Amino acid sequence: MDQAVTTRMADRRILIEAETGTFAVRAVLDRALAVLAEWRLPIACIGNVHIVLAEALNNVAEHAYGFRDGGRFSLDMTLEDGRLTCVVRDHGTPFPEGTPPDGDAVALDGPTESLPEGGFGWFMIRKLTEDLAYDHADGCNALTLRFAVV
Amino acid sequence: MDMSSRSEGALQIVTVNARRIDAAVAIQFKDLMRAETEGSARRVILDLRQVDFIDSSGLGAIVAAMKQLGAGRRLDLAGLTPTVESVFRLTRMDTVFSLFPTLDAALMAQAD
Repeated sequence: MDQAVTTRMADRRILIEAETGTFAVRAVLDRALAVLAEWRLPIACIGNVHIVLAEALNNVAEHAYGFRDGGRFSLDMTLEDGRLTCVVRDHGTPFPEGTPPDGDAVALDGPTESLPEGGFGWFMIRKLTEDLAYDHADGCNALTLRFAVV
Repeated sequence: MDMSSRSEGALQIVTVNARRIDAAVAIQFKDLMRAETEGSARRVILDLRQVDFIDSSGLGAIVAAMKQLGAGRRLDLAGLTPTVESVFRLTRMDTVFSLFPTLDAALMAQAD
């Protein structure tokens, strides 16, 4: 599976499936953004969802599958009652402690040479979502990300 | 990923000719920036007007590009599109870099 496969589950529910690979996250994001535009979400809201989904999907490729190609993952999006719910599923390694990272802000007050080059992902995910939940069952990780659509 | 560059004395302008700086190209971006900024320009302006998205890997690569310039040289950012600007503001990286809405605004500002 080189490209993302989209299945319309309901009027405002879409499932996008893909396998990890160099540009797989981009392919899924492109599909997702097109759907969100079709659902007429405000531009600023789409921007925030874009940031969060990119981080969540990159985490699947990097951590759940350790940069291995061919790992199956999916994005399930539902728009209902002014709320967007996105569920990211994979069959890779679960979160170490069984819970997603806290995403503390990184320290930027040191000298230039000690500025962090990473550690921003979970901070942005937590900052931009209304709430999130994680579940691991039957070898499947499911990260649910909710957004208020305003 | 494609980049282009021009120099005017102590100033160098590097333009990113790509829609995204993300995990797929972060390492390539860092390497290209190292090659482009091998000169001695004291101020490098990174023109991001064509970039409509960066993720945390892309942000990390821009931080790395600034660090590899070394002491006495600075990296300023120009032409930030809305989502790119959001990422800088959310992570408070807007306190580390000087952000300019356009390349012209960056050129007008004193390089101090």
